[in-house]
Amino acid sequence: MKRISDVISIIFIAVAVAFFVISNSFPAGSNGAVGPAWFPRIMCVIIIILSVINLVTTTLADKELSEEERAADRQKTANIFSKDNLIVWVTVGATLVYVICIQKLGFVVSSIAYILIMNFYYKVPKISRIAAVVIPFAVTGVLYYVFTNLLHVVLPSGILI
Amino acid sequence: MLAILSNLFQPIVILSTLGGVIMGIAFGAMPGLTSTMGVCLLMPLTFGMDAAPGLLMLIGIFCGALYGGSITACLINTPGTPSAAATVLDGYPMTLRGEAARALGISTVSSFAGGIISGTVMILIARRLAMLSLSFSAPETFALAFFGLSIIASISGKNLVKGLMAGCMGILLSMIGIDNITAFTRYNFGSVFLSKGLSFIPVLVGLFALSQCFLTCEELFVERPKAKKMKNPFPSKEDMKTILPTIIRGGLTGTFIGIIPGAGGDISAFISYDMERRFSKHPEKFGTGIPEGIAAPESSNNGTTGGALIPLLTLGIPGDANTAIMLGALQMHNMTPGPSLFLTKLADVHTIFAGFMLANVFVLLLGMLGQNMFVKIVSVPKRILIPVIMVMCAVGSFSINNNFYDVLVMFIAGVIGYFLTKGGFPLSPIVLALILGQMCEGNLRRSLVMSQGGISIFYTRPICALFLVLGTAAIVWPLVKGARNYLIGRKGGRA
Repeated sequence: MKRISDVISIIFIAVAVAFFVISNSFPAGSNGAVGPAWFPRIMCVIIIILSVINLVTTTLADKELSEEERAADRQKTANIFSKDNLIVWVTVGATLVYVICIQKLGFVVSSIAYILIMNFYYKVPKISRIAAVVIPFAVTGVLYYVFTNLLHVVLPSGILI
Repeated sequence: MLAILSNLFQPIVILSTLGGVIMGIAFGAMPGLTSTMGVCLLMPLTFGMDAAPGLLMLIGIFCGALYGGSITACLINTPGTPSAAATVLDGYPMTLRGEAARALGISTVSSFAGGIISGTVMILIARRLAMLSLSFSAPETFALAFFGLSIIASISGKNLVKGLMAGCMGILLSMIGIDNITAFTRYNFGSVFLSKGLSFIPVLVGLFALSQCFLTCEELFVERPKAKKMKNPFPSKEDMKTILPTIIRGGLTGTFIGIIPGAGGDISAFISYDMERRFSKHPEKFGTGIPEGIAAPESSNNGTTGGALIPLLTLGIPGDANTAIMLGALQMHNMTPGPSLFLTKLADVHTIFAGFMLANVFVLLLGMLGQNMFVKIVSVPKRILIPVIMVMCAVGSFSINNNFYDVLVMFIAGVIGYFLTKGGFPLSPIVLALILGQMCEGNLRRSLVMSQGGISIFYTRPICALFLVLGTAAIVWPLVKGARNYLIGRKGGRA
């Protein structure tokens, strides 16, 4: 997907430029040794060169494609943000909310709610109603037991559990 | 020997190896779930264990997943892992003839034998190779890290420039945090969390597991065909006689390919399949469901497991994404690969060697006795699995440092991984670079201090020069080959 590849190349260039600029504030090396800015700067320059090469080669490769192939590639990119791909974006959004809720509400409540909601969104009850309801509690319970009791990890408890 | 056996036969070691193999087979068997995802997700579980059982659990997952991929390859024409892609060619036609149990039996025995062959080679050469690295100083270690990073060229596939971009970005991200030489904090943007550097485990859980979940969501409602139950999967005497030479050749080929950084089970399986077909008396029968067509790729892909562990344990060079994660696990367990591992933690190393063999025995036993159980696991719909895996990603990332920010890093890495995959960028180079970046930079700068800024130190030391030449060749050769193919293509187009 050319367009996504191009956008990523541009983001890489922007990140490399930002890291290069920030490295100006690093102290210089002493007694002949190179400073902490030396290696990151080399990497930034290489990233910029490679990103430009990628932009040029994908553009050249795109020119050699037929109009239909180009249209198909554009369609593939458009599909990512289309309604057909809504399930991915809902999953991404729900996961972000879940990640935030882990800290605010606690691991147990957030995980049960997340799996339960996703099960209903993914229409799991059509396969098995029992599985749709039991799995969230069972999985969260097992994970909570393994991590807290066996591995001694204190999972976030938030305002609930 | 007795000490090794007493270490090996501790209940925790046996259980963790067995658990690893079971989970590995389950992950390998389910299309969409990869062995890398399995190793990533279950690594946090090993942190509470001692080093040997923890690593054996990961090795069990690695061995089990490579075998597990063949179950769906034979039964439903869908390779569970890329390594099982070659197994489909003869495994599924055999199943279509009503010989599913025979196909699975051959694949199980071949996977077991391939693993044992590679394990034997690993035991024979690993210590000697590790002792060679005793003479390594900063320049050699830098050259080794550089050579390790050059693997990026071979794991990038067709997208070499994109692979190099991802690798360099991984190195740049590894610079975040305290500089090893001057103790100056770089790129922390005022955050205390970033001062310690990016923890690579949440990044790799995000890149490999979470992004894979997002990608799987795209075809969440596309159900796989269901596999049927079967009886007696053990191969007959005749089949054993036919496949034995194939297994030995495949196992050795797989081990050799596994040692080469960057070449994994998928490549070795196809090479062995092709080799077997070329030297066969009846090459026309390949693809119609013959035993050699299953034995060659299966013995070869499991042969890569022991092969890949050789450079990991002896030199600290991960050959692929799985071993890159295992390198991280070794570091988390305070085990530094190389000669020191063989000098100071010899008992653990021997337990790992013996446990590797045990893992392959479990592959055989589970393959023979638990086929029907795995057939059931394969039938679990993706829509049930995805939310569970998401929760495992979150709890796994949190448990590493008990830090909520690690979960956020995992989420961000997952979204970035999704877009990078869509843009055709390989993900393994980022993880490899994130692990080897600091080692590369630190030793390069130490070498320059040793030589007072001169670069002669890199070409006057033979081992250092050798690794630098090999690393440079590994990066430059695919670039030259690509440019040549491009020019030939253009000339052909004009003509």
